[in-house]
Amino acid sequence: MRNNCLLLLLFLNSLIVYSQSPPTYTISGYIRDKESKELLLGVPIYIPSIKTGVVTNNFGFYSITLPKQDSLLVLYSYVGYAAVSKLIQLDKNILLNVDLEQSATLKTVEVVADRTERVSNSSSMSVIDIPINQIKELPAFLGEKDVLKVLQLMPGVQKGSEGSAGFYVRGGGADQNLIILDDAPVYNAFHLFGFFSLFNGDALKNVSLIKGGFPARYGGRLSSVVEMTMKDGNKEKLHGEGGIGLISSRLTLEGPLVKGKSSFLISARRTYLDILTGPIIKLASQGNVNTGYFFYDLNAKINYDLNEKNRLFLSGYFGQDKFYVKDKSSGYSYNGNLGWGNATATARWNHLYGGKLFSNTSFIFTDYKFLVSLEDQDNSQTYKMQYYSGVRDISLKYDIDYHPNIRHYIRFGILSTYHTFTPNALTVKSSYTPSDNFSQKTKTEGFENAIYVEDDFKVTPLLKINAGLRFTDFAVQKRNYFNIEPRFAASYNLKEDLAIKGSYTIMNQYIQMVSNTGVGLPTDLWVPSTKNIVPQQAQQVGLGIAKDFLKENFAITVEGYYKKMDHIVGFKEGASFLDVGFSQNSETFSWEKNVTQGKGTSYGSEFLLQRKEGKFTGWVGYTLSWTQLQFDSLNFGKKFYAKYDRRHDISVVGIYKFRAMAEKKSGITLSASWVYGTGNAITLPISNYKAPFHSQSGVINEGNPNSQQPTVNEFTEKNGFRMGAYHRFDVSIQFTKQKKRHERTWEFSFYNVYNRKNPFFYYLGTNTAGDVVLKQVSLFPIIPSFSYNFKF
Amino acid sequence: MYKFILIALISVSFFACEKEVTDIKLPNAKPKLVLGCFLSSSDSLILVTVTKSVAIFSKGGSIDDYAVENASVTISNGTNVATLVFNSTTGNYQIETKFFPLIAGAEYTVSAKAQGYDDVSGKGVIPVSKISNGSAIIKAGQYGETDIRVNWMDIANEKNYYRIRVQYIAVKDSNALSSLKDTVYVYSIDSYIKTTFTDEGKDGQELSAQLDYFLGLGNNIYPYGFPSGNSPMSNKRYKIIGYLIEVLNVDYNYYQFQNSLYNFMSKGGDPFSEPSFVFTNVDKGLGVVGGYTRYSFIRN
Repeated sequence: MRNNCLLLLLFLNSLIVYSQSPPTYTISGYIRDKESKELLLGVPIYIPSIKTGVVTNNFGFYSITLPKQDSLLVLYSYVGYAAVSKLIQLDKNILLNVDLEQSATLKTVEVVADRTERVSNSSSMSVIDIPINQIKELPAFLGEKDVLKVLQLMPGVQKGSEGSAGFYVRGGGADQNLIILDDAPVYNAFHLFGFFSLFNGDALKNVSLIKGGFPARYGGRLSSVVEMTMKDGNKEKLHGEGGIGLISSRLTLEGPLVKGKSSFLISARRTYLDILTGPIIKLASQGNVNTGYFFYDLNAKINYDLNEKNRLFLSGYFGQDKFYVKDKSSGYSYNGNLGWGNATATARWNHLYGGKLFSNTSFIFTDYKFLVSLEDQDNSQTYKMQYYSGVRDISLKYDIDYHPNIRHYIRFGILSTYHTFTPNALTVKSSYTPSDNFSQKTKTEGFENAIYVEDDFKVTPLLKINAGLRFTDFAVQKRNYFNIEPRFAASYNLKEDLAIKGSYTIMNQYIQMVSNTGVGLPTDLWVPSTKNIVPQQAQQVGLGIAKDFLKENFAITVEGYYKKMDHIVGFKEGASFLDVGFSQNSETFSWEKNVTQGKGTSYGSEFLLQRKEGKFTGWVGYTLSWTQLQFDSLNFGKKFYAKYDRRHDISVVGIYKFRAMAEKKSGITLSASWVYGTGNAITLPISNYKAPFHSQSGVINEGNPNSQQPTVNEFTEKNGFRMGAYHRFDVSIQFTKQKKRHERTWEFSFYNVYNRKNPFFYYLGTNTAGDVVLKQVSLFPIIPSFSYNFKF
Repeated sequence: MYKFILIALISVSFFACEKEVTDIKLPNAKPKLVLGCFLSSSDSLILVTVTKSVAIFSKGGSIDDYAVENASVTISNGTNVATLVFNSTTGNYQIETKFFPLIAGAEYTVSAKAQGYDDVSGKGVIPVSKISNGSAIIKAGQYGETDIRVNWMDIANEKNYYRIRVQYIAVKDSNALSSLKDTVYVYSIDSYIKTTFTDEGKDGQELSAQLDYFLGLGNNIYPYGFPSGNSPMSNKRYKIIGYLIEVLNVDYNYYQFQNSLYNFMSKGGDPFSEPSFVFTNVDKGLGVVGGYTRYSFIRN
């Protein structure tokens, strides 16, 4: 107790000492890309004289407040950009916007000063930033660059099934990841049953993943935050980027609306499998059948700088997948459609209150819909069915960044979201059997609110903490859930380039996805906590070390974590999404009756060696982890391993630039990745037997055990069998050349180079001798692909 | 509709290939004895079934003979032990309760030994309390099923598990073929219908169970006991004259087993359903040893 009092006195003393310091002045402004005037987020700004610095926020804004100085050196440096230094006479408040030039466009790369973007220099832990350029340079399935699949290559992030873009972070479920695009949550982030994600790298400026030590400004999910920021659009000149691939093509255009003040960005992608196969199917069916599948994405953004203090942003995403079947022959027609899609829209207003206070107000809309419609007409009889499920959010968010001095970076804000869930809306109209006609709809509304405050506090030059509180509330079905979420992360520098880190967080989650297919089907339902289903909660502690190797320009982090999850949601034994989604039976119609709640623990350690700059970049990641679940009503209350419990997970990723573009006007980039993961945990039937049958006549055996008693299976322990390990090697080579009016890149890649037959699922079959055997279905053998990309 | 989704899913897996899994050691399923025993102090006969499990991954194809006729089966109340005798007609091991009385509230251990298998045993308790009244409403349902709603008063101040059983009683119709016998036929519920309930949250209150039987109309029942094609609803050769309704107060093991059996049986063939485990309280084996008390009434 005496020690605590002493610490408190020291803390207060430090504040008082600071408050009695001489007058201070503020340098503030925005950091931008020199060519496009794109705002750059996460740029470190370093003050060598005091060996400390700040980082730009999500809108490229920074603020430094220091005592008066005659000569102050400030360094601005960022991955992929040449560093800039400014010598400033700090005797008044200064507005200083800095434009950084991309190092790839420079003839010679200036190394101005010591870089500050070090993992050992930040208070945060368990945060991974992936440069967008690296995402574009890595080999990809069928040449489709995929942000979420690159995240799967990071330690602590496990993929689901083969080819799937779904991911599981530190033992959490697929629905425990908050995926946000320009502040708007995206509910179903996948195309084509999970094989591709929605996110088109051409439209993105930044991707970051937080696995633990969550700052208080984030909330709503237990396991991770994936924050994606769309590009603002080139404010100086029209710029285009695109590509033609095997299954899709994409085009991004950006340019000024009012030069230097306003810009737009529009980015679109569409697959063309339907266009290629449609005529063939039509021909084969003598014009009767038309069937196909496609998906598209459309990202759009405009922004306007009203003045130095006010900026407006309007951004949106619209995407859809669609399967369709049309069959028309004499007297009969059939029309079936299956589609799902997301729409998000974000309107944001940045406002500066002087140099220390930055505010952002966001109005956010997000909508996810899954729709199935069938229409069958046979002569004069018709049958029509329409099934719909979805979730819609309308949110208002207000965030303040306050920089009182160089030691504190205080953020606080409020978020209110009105959720509307429609897990099931089914309408049947039939002239065949009019008695079957019906219409039913389930709808639940929830109101989620959060207030947060956090401070990134440099306690001493060696000790940094990020401490915060988040107050959350969820009102649903006349029930109110209120929770306080403390967040804490600290970093202590043992040496200039070596830090030990620790974190503790509590997270609550008020909505969840009901899914047991494991293949990312669009039928996965998003549903809220209710009066019966209490919110999920997780506590996570993390410990780690971070070491920068400044000369060699790489960093190593080693982290251990322990996560305890309560009230997590799982399917009851025997329950199926077919019951939840489509059943008309009153007993099974409610999704609540098909789920149960339990708890889980996940722990493990992660190793990451990462190099972000230079001719040779990439990373090596390794995860050793355990995830166990326990539900009173599953597995008879005994603990079991989660399906995606992954004992070992390895990824090795390398990108080598043989020739840099700027030097020769042509470049060659070779990239490769190898992944290995322990097989998924599944439940396997191992024997058959006759279940005892207690009939009413009192006779159990009915004289013939072989025919009258039901035959049932004995299984392994729940998820007690491991599928085969997953491993794969991909390679890609890009040839880039500067042409007269544009730059073009040919890319050739091989997915699964050594043709590993990775298990997608297992089933029981028979061999030629009639024995029951386990059979494995694999999806993707070696797949070569190529694409043509251009930008101007 | 879900078939439409499955077709769509399959159509995208155009690269898929399959092979037999040979590079992973499959779990070794040692054959186990399967015990079945349901004990009640009102029964005159103690019946035990002993069968065996058959490994799925076995050479020489699947084996469908589950019978075990050479087992040594005993029942014990902790003090006395009695040996049950195999009845080749019924396929059961049995002993009359006059030789080994069953007492409500007592725990019994049923054990079995057979050459080539681990010795197995399971324990069951016969509940003390018994339901003392009940009623039922029977009517035709919307889709041709028979809706049976059974109501009874929960036994207060204790945690109870219940199973409802219904059998209908049918006699030969006046229009029946003369070749048919004058037997009274009964049809018992099967494991495809949820018949297990608890008093959770309703201690001492009236409980109600809704059972839907598709009598002869659905393909999910086995109208065994009737000559082929002569079920009561199919051609009126027999007519239902009443329903025997039983409310069983069962022990935890009985409840868990019957409930899990229903879950297993009701989800057959759904590739997306979570695996459903059938409960067992038999040590080193499978099956169940449970206890119950019975209250029954006839509803015409």
